[in-house]
Amino acid sequence: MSSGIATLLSIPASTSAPGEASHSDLQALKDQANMSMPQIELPEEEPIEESALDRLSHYPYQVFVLSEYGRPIYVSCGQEDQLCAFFALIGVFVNRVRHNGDMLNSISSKDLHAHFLFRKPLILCIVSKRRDQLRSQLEVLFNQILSTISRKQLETIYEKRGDNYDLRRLLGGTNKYMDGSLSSWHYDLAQISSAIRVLPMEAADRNALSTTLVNSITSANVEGMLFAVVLAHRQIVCLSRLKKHLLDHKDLSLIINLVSNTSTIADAAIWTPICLPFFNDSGFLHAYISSLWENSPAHLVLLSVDRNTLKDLHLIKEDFCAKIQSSPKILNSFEAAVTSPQSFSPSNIGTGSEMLWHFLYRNISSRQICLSASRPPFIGQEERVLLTRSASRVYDILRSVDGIRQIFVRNKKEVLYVKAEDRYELQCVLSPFCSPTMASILGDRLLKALKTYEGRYFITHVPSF
Amino acid sequence: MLQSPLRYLSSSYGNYTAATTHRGALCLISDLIDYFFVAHPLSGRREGEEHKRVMYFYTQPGTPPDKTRQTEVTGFAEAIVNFMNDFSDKENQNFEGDFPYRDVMTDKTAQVYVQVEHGEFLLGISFDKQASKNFEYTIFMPTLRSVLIEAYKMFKLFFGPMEDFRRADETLFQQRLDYFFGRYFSQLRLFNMPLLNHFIGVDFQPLNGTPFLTIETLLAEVKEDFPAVSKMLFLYQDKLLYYSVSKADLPSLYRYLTENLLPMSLRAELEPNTRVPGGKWLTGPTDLQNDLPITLDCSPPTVFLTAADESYEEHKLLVYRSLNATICLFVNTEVTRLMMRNMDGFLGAELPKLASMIGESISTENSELRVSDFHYIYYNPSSLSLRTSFHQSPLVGGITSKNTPQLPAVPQSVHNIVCETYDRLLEASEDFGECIVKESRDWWIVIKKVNERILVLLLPPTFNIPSLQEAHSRIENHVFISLPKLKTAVYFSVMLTEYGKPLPLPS
Repeated sequence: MSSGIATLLSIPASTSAPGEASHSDLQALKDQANMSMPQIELPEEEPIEESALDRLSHYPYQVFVLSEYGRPIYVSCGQEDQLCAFFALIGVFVNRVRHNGDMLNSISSKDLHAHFLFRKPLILCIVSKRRDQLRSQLEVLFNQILSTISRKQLETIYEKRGDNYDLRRLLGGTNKYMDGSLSSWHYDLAQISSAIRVLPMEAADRNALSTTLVNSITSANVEGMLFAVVLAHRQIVCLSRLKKHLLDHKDLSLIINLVSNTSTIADAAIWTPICLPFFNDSGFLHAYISSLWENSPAHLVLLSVDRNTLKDLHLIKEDFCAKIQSSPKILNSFEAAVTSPQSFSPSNIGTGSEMLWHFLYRNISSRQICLSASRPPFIGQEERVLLTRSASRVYDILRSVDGIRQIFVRNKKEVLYVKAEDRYELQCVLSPFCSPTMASILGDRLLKALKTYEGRYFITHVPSF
Repeated sequence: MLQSPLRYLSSSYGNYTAATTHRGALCLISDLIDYFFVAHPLSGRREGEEHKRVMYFYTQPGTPPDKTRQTEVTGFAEAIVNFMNDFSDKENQNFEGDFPYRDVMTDKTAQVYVQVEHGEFLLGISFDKQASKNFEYTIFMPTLRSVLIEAYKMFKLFFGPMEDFRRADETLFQQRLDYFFGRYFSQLRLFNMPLLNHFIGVDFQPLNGTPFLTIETLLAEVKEDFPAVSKMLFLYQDKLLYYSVSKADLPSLYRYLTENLLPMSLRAELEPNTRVPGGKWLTGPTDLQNDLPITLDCSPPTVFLTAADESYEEHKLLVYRSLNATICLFVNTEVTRLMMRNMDGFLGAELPKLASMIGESISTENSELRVSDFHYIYYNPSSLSLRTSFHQSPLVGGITSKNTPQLPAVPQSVHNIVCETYDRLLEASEDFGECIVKESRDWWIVIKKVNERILVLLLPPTFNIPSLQEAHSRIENHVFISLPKLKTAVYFSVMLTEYGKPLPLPS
């Protein structure tokens, strides 16, 4: 069974059978090793091991995935074969603590933080210079692995193939998705807040679009069709689902990761099996992913349980595209939303808004977030990084410390105002001169404004078919 | 150098009883920890001799010593230290300044390892999470670190650097570790509010000009008349008034005096018919009427004080007490009964007068710092001044306990919020910062950092603060009116102890 992202409509040679390619490379390496004399090999290998080790301290973070038996599977800097000793050590740490009936979670020193996650039969470890959300990063990475190898497969593979089985054969070619999953924590506030972003769009236009989508799906009447998602810029444009089935936001973020890290979608549609662990962690769905028009940042994702529905799904897409093209109103609003998204501008809240530099609102039940449009001082890349870090820290604190309702923090460069209620979480970055009174007034005004424009920034209704 | 100061470590804290501390304010550390160890990694380098690195291993009383486990635990700790080193810049791996540490979290335990003396020794402690939960103790890693480092510093105060001692006599070193830490950990109590064990400080007594000048004069005379006295320290009740020891030694000395030596002598004072006119020695031989040489068993304790060049100097610690005033004299020559007799003659005449003078002067001062409707912690890292409404002093228990019943007990979740927000929302590298947090049961937590000084306020739900705006104005209007001195201390960078006179800097 091929479970990698392998079967494509138009198949680029390099990803045709990555698992096998790396396997044969390994075999070649092994053969070489067998042939050469150990006396010659040792001095050659040592400097390589040194250099990989030396480099470890230069990365802001490093992630290791290994089997519980200590066998390397993935390392974010690549070259896992050079770091075997490290993998072994991580395995020993985790297993030693497990042996005592306990579980190792983290190690910290003054400026370095390591987190460990044991998900039988895998061990995941992150070593980072930042301490926020390390466990969440590993959990999401594990979900990413599950999307390629279902939990059921994972649980039985070592029983079937032995402790020494190299899981890279099954994961072959998916490293870029794992890299993508990890790097998203450094720029994507949706990932950080464990939510999804909605592309801003007038409610009526969004409804027209999703109705069109549902119409195309219903008229095709494809057996096994489950979900349809329109995405652009890692944001959801609209969604529809089969009656009685729900798409979890964590599964949705796996789909977003898949789409944004597959470069070939621009040229052709792809057809790939994917396990959505929060929908069903023991089986695969089949995803049809295609650009909506040439060079479009908007993509349509159709998910079906039946692996033989590729042609039918392709027809749905054709029909959907045709319907959009034939309606200038839908086409224009959709194109405008995709090409120049209108994020919420803080100036909407009236006087004093110049103090509000940035906000992130998160609806707890729908898991949707709304961000403010970029404005100074958060324009440049480094500035945006600071912003994501502060958001990441706030989320880490809100998740790890119970009972916080409001936070007002004034540091040298900014004021941070956080409000956590049962229905929502709001975090604002304000000017350092903002008083607590002003912060809470601006926060309340912002909440009111968001309510007024709810339809534009949130998906309040997901039509089913 | 090796006679034991340990007889001064009482076997129990007579005054830290349930009567003077309100429930849940303090926890016995021995109820919370699984183990504590001192390892010397170099001693266990050879294969088959790994257990030799274990210098000391404390486990729950009643647990039989398990060599295999001790070797395993210390080996694991050493491996973890090395593991993290591989990811750090090699240039940054030095031992200057801070103590390098590793925090290790597992489902069931919270462990801290600290390297001391340039990595020669590795100290480790493990807290049991379930036990901490049972005793409502909040695990806060920086506090666990402070506890471990303080334990080391206390040992060093009495025995000097570990490596020197180990080289001189390893067997005796191990015996002393065993004797010292066995007692230390069986009686150490931690505040349920972890920040109080994290901020390493002392409680200063604010004092007006005249009594303070009188103290200075008296101490100058002592120094003049007894040149053997190189450093001094002056306490009233359990509060510090004057010190000339290095600031590095001050917290450990202060803790030893206020938590061990003074409570022990206080118990003796409470016995009827033991009051002596003048004053009395709390350390050294009791019989001063002869001129016999002072034998080891009644010698005053030796302490190792930090010298100007950061080396260590041995001193004898002589403690003299009269009424509520305690004077500590650090003598760097041999102590004789004659010397003590002469000092007794001098201090016995002067100290009681001074003590009454201070007593009168502070009775008005103290009332001002008593508040009854909220909790606060004030810490100034540069002067080491630590002041709090949580403090349960064994020596002035009567006074503080008057307030405490009115203060609502702080829920554990609030302890946790205070620690985490302090640690993570205020930048450690910044000298200024402000943080206001609302808790779900309507506690408000305020942390202010001004020029390094830290003020933590815990306002209970009875304060009835509806909004952030209101919180802000109430802090300014009510809290700082109740605590004008804290406001001055925080905003105008004036040390709490300064009442016209700056606190003398360590010589």
